[in-house]
Amino acid sequence: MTTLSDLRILDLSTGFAGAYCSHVFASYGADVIMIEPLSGGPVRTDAHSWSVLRSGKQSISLDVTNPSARSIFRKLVEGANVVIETFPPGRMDSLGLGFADLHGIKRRIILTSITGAADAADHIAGLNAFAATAIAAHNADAYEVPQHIEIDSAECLSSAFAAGPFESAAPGQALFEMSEVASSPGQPPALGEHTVPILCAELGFAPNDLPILRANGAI
Amino acid sequence: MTYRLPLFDHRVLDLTDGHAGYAGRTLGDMGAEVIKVEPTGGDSLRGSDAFDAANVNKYSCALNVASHPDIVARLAEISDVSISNTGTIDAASLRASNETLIVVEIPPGAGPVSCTAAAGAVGLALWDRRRTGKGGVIRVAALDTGPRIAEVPSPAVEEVSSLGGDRKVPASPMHLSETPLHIRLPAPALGEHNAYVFRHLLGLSQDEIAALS
Repeated sequence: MTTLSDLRILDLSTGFAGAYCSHVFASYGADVIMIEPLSGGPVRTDAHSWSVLRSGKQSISLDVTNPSARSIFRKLVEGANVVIETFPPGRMDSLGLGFADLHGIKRRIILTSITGAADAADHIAGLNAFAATAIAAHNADAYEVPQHIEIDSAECLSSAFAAGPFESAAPGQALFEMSEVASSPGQPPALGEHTVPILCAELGFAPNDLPILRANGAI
Repeated sequence: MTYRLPLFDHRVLDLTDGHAGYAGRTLGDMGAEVIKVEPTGGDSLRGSDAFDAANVNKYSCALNVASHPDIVARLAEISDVSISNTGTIDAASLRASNETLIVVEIPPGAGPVSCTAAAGAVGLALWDRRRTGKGGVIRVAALDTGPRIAEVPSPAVEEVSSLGGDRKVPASPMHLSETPLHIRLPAPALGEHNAYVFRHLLGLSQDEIAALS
């Protein structure tokens, strides 16, 4: 049995659909890093289902509206396979983090955008985003093909799935079992639990860089 | 830079009946060569719009699996992925001569939600296979045993004409910037691609092919 620990996903999403998408990856051992606003986002909601959605992920608190934080995010992209986001259309471009920008940093990046979040469609949109992203990540790994994947929640509900609700896939329920890839439940991280380890051990920041980044609101 | 569809160099052996066909369709949308093996009496959905929705972007060969396990084994040998929901042939038999094969088992009665999960699981298994050289078995949970593929596409969806016919099928909700998904093949007639599958892929003689039906 192996895990998918060399598949790294940066999750900028702020709603259920994106968190569910990256949750499926994390459930099979992918290296999912939540990039969270400094005060935490909806994923910090106390309800049990959200703590399941956080499980097995890492957490970095990073305000991507801050220029210093964006340069940290760009460094993270160099080592990532996938970026997931749920901002309003155009927001990533205006932050300088659009598909062209990310592709310029990491040639074979997969950017997955989920739009039009609607409660009734969150599960099915997150699931479609997961499926498209998993296949595209394999293709990027094999042939260096980048993709900007766009999933619209309302469209998911009205396509092949219109005939019925997503009955029973509560967060935490295994969607599938794989004989060769171990499922990986993990613990939910505290907000920003991995900010210092990742910045210092991976990105080469010195411990005394951090107070400055904190003071200017980047981390 | 133009790219080929993500699964352009992958072959899928689709042994499913009914709504579980949507899993193979999703892999077909992504560019895989999907060979639907249908009983000589045809899939149970034949004649409905749901059949088209679940079977565009596939080839069809007519073969009674239980009577010809040797032919199924030969197809499994040259495939990357197999999908089944009928229990007619087990994972060990399918993988016996191809340890790189990814066997997907979908529960009876499951629909497009389980099928979408299955497609994503195939993506993860392919990622893993590049590192280990091994396929494996994926057992998908029953996520939507009641719901069915929408037979009448919503007006909110861009409808895509099935090539060579009047039928409309729901488009994939997956939008890929570099390789837009599209319907390359209409839902096949029963056994429409027998010659391609049995003669070209397996190299069977005319007499051997005649003996299959």
